[in-house]
Amino acid sequence: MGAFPLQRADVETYLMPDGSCVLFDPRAGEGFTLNAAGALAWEYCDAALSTEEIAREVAALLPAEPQAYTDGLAVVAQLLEAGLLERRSDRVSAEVVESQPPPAEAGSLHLPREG
Amino acid sequence: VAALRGQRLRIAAPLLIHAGAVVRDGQALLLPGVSGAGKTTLTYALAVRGWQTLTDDLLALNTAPDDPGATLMALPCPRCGHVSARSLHLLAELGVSLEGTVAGLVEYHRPRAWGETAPVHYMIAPRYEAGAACVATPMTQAETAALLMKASFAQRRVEYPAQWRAAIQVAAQTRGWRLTYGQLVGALDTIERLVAECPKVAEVSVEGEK
Repeated sequence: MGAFPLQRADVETYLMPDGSCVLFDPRAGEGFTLNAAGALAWEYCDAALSTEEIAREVAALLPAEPQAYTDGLAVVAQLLEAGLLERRSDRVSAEVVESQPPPAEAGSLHLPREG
Repeated sequence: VAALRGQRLRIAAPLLIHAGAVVRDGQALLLPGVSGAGKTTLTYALAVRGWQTLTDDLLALNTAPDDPGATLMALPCPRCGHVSARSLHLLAELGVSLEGTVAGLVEYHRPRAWGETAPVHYMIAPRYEAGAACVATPMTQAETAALLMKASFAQRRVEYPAQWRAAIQVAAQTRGWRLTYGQLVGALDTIERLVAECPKVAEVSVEGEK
């Protein structure tokens, strides 16, 4: 498709202890839930990979899940449709991605350990 | 009522949700659901398995006043609940004794004892279907957070971010299931099995970034 998905910068990502994930869209005031495979796909959306490449990476990481590739395609499509991902027409090189500053502290949620 | 007339009622709790809740051994179990899902009957029935009622329908989750950064806790809301004659009969068969009717209100009863404030560890979203087999389906913690939000009472949009973060915090320490059931005893047995098999949540941490 020639599109390189990129996470929208203001979307808050909350990775849960079981590997699932909540994305909070502050513009819409809505939350989106992802299972572990979806959370992996979201993590790969840095404009360095195409949708198909992301799905292949997810499938490679989850070899026991036969639907992982199609699930990866589907979740990226849904997140593009929901506007949580931007569609870049040009690929960002891996070197550029790695040189990006770490995520901002704003939006982070650190919970206390259980006593 | 007169004092509230003409005023905008402000809710102090970070989350106010439509749910029953019980507590045992210092761990709260939430039962969120719409009217007719079986919250009240199931909440009161769990007394026969040693759970104490926190609420049958309206649950506030909040931190301690002197420790606002701490874990959200399930607070008791001691009020009477609507129990149909059929549910009252089922509960009596189980050996659950309720107080009431209350204040002369037909079909309104309340437990004889109440539980105390506790952290949330389990969530069961019940759905009663006459004649249905008892089936429990696990939820991810992200789904658990979303269901908590769905069960929360609508507030102003400006409060959505704080509400979502509260729901995420609670879900991160919680194991959740959807439970379809047609018989009360089957539901109680299933809940007991799920809680018994559930590994204790040893650590609560959510990686969040923007």
